[in-house]
Amino acid sequence: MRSEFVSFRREYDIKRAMTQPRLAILGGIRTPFVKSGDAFKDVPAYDLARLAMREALDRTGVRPEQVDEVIFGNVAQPAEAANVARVSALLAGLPIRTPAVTVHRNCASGMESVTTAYDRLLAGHGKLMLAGGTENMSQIPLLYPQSFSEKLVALQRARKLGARLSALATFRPKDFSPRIGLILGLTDPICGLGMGQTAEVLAKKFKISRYEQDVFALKSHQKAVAARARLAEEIMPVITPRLAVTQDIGPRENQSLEALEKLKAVFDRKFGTVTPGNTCPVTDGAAALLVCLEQDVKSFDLPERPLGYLRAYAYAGCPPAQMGIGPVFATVKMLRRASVPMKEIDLFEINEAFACQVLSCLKLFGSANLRKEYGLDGEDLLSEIDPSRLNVNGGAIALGHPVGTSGARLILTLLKEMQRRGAVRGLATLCVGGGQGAALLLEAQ
Amino acid sequence: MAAAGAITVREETWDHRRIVRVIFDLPDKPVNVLTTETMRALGEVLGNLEQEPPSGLVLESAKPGVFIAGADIHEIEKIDAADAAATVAREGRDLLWKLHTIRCPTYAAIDGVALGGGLEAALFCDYRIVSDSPKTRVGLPEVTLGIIPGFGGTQTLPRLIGLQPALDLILTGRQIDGRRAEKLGLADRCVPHDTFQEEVEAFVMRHPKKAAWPRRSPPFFLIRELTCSMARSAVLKKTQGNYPAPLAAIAAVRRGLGRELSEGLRIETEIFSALPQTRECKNLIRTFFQMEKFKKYSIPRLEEMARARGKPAPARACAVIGAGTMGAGIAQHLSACGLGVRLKDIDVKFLQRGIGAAEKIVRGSLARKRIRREEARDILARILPTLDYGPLRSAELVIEAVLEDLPLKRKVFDDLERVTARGVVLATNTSSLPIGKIAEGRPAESQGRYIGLHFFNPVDKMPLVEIVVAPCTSDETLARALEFVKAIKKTPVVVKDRPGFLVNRVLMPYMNESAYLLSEGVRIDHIDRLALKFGMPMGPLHLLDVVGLDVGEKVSHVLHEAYGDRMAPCPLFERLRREGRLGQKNERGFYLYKGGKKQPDHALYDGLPAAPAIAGEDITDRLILTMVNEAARVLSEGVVDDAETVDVGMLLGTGFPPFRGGLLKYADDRGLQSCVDRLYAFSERHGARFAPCDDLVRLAKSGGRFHQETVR
Repeated sequence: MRSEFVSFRREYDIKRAMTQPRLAILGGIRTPFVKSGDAFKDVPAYDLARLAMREALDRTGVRPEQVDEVIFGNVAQPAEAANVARVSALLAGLPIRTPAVTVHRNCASGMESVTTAYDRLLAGHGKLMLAGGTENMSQIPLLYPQSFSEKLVALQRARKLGARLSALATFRPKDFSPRIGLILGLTDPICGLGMGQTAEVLAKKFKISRYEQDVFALKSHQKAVAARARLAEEIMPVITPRLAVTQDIGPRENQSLEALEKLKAVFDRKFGTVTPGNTCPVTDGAAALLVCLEQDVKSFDLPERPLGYLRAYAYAGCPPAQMGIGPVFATVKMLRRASVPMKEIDLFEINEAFACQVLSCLKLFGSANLRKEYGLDGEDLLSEIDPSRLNVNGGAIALGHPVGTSGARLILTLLKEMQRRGAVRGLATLCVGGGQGAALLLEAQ
Repeated sequence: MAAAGAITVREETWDHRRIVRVIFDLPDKPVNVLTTETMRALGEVLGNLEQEPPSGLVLESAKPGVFIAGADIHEIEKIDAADAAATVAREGRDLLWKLHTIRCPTYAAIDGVALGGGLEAALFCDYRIVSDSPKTRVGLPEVTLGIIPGFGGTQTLPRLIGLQPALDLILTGRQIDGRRAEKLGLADRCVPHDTFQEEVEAFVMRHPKKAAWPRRSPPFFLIRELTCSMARSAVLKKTQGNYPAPLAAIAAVRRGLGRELSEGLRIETEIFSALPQTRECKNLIRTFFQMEKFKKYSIPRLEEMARARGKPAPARACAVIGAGTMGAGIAQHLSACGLGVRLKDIDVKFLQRGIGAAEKIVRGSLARKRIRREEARDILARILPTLDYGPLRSAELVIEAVLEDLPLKRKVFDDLERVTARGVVLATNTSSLPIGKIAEGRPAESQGRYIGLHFFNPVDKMPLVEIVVAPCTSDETLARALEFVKAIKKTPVVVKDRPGFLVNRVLMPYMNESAYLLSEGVRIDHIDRLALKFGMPMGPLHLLDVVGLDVGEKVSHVLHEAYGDRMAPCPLFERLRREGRLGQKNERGFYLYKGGKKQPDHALYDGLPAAPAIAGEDITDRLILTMVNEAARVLSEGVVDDAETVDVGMLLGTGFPPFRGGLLKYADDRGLQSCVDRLYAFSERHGARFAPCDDLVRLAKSGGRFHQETVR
């Protein structure tokens, strides 16, 4: 493949990047993650978000009126709550005068909310912001075809009985067959592939076997189950008269390799290796983080010190049909910017959209030859990732991947774990549908 | 051209028409009321205009949120004879009558409260334009003060909106908003508040002629008679005949309807004139003023402190610990008042049940259209459950409502000490444990934060909160608690930290006595019926069932321990406990509850003596005077500051009949010596628990009264 990706070296004024204040993450919380169609199917995205927002405020001790802006990630953009961040913020009890914006960078929307907040704080647009993400994938609607809505409008415009009848007569059965919003959303219009199909591309390209993928998925479940108590520290219960969810429902205690191996490939039924078992489930959930610049932390006089800091971040594009390796592209760019080599990073979170996609990233991080093929330069910065430091509390394959939320969840999970282990630096990165990657360099102290 | 003080008259030309605007604005008063002086001024204005009427006359108010709030209650209070009452009414409605007879169309522009006399003035106008502002409330609340509308309301309203709706408004004293007024036909048009003036002008332009009157033809006399007699029996059932005003109102409507308006007005005055001087009216007015005073209750010492240091900021984020009946009720009420509430419990199921209970109340208000759908959603969204103390970090006031168990409560406050910020008020909703015991042993600077906030069940309906002040409670905390209680639209009474506080302590002998009466063989429904007849909203045995006999037992145990034998629970309770009777909650108490109906459980009479020959009066006195006796003790121990506080507390906490003016006012009216004599007689016959307390005996002997002078 001919490379259009060259060195990121010239893109940055490194000096400036080094002297910028870091972003402090004061605290955060998330709802449990619940597979779509389950307990949260009647809890709209704005309700999940407002619960997380309020909980984050109440637990950190930040008063609603101290928040200068609410920035929340969301992918599905529910039709009944346009600018879902604003709707959620008001329901959470934030003051009317506090502005709110919904950001959308596909699977990285939760991260986008944090980095946008960072940029806006650096530019002086406030001192403290409420970031995060929310997604209810259960509630992504079915869409009627354009032909249906055109005919419906014609019917409504018809006044006389005859006109109405003839308008009615124009409907054909295919007008009534809806398009599934969720599938549309998970299909990249540029390369025409569904996300699962892009994973198949990677599996073949990087020669990841079905067995490797299933073992990876199994480990994700085992790690997540073992981490129940640790994950509970970042989870708020969601309780209503009709439902009560206190933990993620994804991780399976009794997950076995045999069970995973029995599943059929769904995205390429003939030659495929990507199954529902080694793919992240479609999920509902929200997460909220309170952020401010490092130098302003003291002024809020909070009872606890910040969870950690964001030192640097980067987004980078990659081929849409291979969107799963976006993390490598973004990480190179980010490390360059921060002038921090990979070996100085203690803990890693690569979002598990697909097992083969994470495994591809690992291969790419470890192979200069492969990177050369993609025109990625980073020999001075990159090194292999020790799998025992990767996704130590399990990942999206077990926990789930509410697309607008996961970016914020990775930051929360990673920072909490860094605190527990006394780790200094962590990398949170994820792949983005449409061919992008996002990478964040986090620091505990 | 301006008339005396209260009224400004402005002549304007609207589209070639000469319009006179009569603008009410009482100087130095927050609201407009129809004082004698205002009436005189209005009379003058109308007299001047009669000769040369303009092409339109608009009654309006310059006060925001108020049209005319009604007649001057202080003046009504002073009326002490029928002829004086008749004169006031006749003069008033003769004057307002001119709004009806003047040879130009008259318009009432109502953008705020229009109650009693204020609405009656508007009813004499040809047209009423109201605003959709939430402040716009119209109604005829006279019967709640023991009188009837005296400025024509009983005659004009039925002629305008029909018999049934008019009776409904007059008998309940209900206040309705602008939209509802338009729907009923009480108002000709409901217009937006924001463009009120423009809309009024447009309306006046479009309606240049006097309106036809009456707007409705009178109902067929049989219908009239039937409706009125049904209303009468409904009133009698509800009031036990204790309140003359609603019956008088029905009579005025019934006799006036179908006659000439002027004849109807004469009948109304005749009926009205018998009411203001009755004791019921005096007591109701007295109670009204007392309520107004206690709603704004303030303590001079704290006011001074506020002046020096500034008023404490009202709490906006609260937390309630314990999602039981009380906890959930409190959380729901706080949220309905716009406060954020953290509801903490240790078990997911308790939380679900608690939020479920709150949701039920909210759905109820939604069904009754008292709140909009969005408000209902917001109220529920503001109640946030939690299983740990983490989110209580931002609470500014915490109310504990866990089980009545001292070690458990102390454990809760141990945790709260750790998690809450320094200035946070720590309140307990305990009904039986001393606040001092809960605060004991804590750091000195923290003890001041402890206070009792005793809510009553059901929280959304019961208007009283006892603020319990322990010796350790700081003034700062008391001030915050007081502001808080007023902010959540409850009426505070401040009491000292003595077992049972005020209401439960005074009420317990009443409930206990009802059990003694039953054990003597008096029939269950007979006891309750006599209490109802006295004016109590619920008989004591029924009340025990509703409260729950297990709950009652707990409280009575605490009171027995604290106050000795006079509070010893009647032995009959032991039997009820043995038989597993909990009251309404397990459908078995003194009554059996089946399919929403209650029936005295005759099985209880087994082993009891046959119904004795005992005068109803004796039963009532035993029930009521034992409360008077306990209230006298409460006063002499300084648990509350004065007799007024006792009366307000019992009125709001137990529904003691307002027409009696309060428990101690009742004792005063009846004569303290008579109370003491009766108590002595009872103590000889039925036991030492009746022995009148020393202070009561002394007070009676000196010819004193609990209440020194009238309230103001």
